[in-house]
Amino acid sequence: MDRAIELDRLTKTYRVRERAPGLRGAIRALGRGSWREVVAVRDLDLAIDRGERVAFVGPNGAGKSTTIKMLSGILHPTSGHASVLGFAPWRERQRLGFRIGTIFGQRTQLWYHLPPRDTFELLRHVYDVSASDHATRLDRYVERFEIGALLDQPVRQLSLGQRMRCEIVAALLHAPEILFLDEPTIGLDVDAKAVIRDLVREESERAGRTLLFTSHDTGDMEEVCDRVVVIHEGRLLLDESIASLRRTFIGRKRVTVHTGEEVLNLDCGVLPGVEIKDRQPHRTTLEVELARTPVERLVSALARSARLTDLSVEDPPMDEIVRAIYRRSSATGVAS
Amino acid sequence: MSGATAAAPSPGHALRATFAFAQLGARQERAGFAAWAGRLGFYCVILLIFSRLWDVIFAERLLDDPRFSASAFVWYLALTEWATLSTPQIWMDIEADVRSGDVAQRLCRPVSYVVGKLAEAAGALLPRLVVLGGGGLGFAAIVAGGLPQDPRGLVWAIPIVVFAALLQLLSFTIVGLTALWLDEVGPVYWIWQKGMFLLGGLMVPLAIYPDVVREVAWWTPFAPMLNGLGRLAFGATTEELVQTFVALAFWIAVACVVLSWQFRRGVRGLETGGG
Repeated sequence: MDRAIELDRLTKTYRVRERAPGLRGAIRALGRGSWREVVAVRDLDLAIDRGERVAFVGPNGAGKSTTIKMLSGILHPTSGHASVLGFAPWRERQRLGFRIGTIFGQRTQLWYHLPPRDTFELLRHVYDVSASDHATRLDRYVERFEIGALLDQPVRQLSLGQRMRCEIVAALLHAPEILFLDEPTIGLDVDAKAVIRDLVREESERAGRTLLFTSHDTGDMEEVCDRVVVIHEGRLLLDESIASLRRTFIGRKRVTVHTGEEVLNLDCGVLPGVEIKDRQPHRTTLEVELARTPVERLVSALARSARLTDLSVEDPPMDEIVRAIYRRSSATGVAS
Repeated sequence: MSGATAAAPSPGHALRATFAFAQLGARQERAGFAAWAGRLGFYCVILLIFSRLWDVIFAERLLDDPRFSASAFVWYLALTEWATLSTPQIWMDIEADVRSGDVAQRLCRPVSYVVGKLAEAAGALLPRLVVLGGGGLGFAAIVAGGLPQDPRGLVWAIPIVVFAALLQLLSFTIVGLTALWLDEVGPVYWIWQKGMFLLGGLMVPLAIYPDVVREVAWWTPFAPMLNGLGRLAFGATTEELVQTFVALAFWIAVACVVLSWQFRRGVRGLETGGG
């Protein structure tokens, strides 16, 4: 399969100036000062095929944004190599710019006092899109992203969710082959997040567009991506499909039972590793450690102890899985 | 070397994109009616206050020079403020882009960030020149009690104000780009603004300054940018007009070279040190 992105021992080290506190520190800093090296990304190897949707996950300071900046050509690496659609991004940023799109959740490319339509028209000239292609794409996205009523309203009057839909359209109008999304759902409410996730995923599937998606919200990676890359302190911790990640890291299941009885009367003492997490009238949520009690045994015990009206078995939320990955890396050192 | 092949942009792409930025700047300017009204109101208030001040100064013979009159001083101020109030404060936009990190996203576009910014500001500049020129110079005619003694100066003011405002715009861009190195751009702008007051003759013509200051001022970009425009209120000789045009063209060329070098250095810093 054709590669969209290839990273080979990509490393970025920043020099950070250190300054002692107080007036003496300020005066000393006027001279040579002292510098400290901070490794933001360390020997990162990664290959992403065209059309893949990859979640790039890590805690603050893990090196996610630094990597995306290197891939979009804004930052030069200290060592190593990267290829994006065959370009060395930091040497050919402007040529690459025609073929990638970027969305930074806390940045905007829409002109604040003008309607989105004006920005879209500007971007048509910036990305050298013909008038007919622009009109066709805009019609499609207006319908798909439901932004018809927003097109002629000044951006300052739009809600964050509405603005983000317009931001995504702005990033898609030149039909980029790769879309870099850096925290696109940050600050959005649950409904707006769901809409953005659906749209981004569908649009990627329709156009075979490669996505590299960073987020702190594990829901984003579950709903949008097929593969997850976890980095921590600049190093690759894990690179797996979402499904495989769940299989590898899920040691617990969450069981929710609805019962005819108001209170579930279950003796957890005879079921090792079973814990009641939440209790409401007629509804109880339990968590079971699979290595100690198989889920079938718990379900049988539940069936014996109450009149079940409904039952669901779920994996724990993705953020617990990611926390488990970080815990494992802290305990054992960084895996490759 | 990359192994990639990308369709080259069509001929004239950069020019069309630059023009689109200018159009957007003009459109953004049209959208801000309150800002228009505020700027024009401020212009008129300044002219009114200074016209009263010049009336008193000339009536009391505090400035006794047959070359000057209260009316000519009002026209001098009207011309220098025409350029100054029309020039967008682009340095604030650039500082905001650098501080927020938006500059990084703009650098991903296949069009130069600084060219886009300049074109956008130039797009805002032209309608401002028209509106402030019409409204402000009209008001100046009322408070000064008529046109300047040699009204041909006002005709020459039209091309000169465009050059002067362009030089101000370039200098404000240079001020704004210092944000790539400094935490605060405000003090740099403040120093530049004092240069405009003291060496440019923003409020009063350099002709009443001591000789040595006047000599120094004409070696800086401030004098042609402001005094060169304002002195048209007193009528201008061909020699003075040529001096102003040549000096403005020279400083615009210098500003372009400095800007280009500064931007390349700044972007190199961003590329290696992050933003």
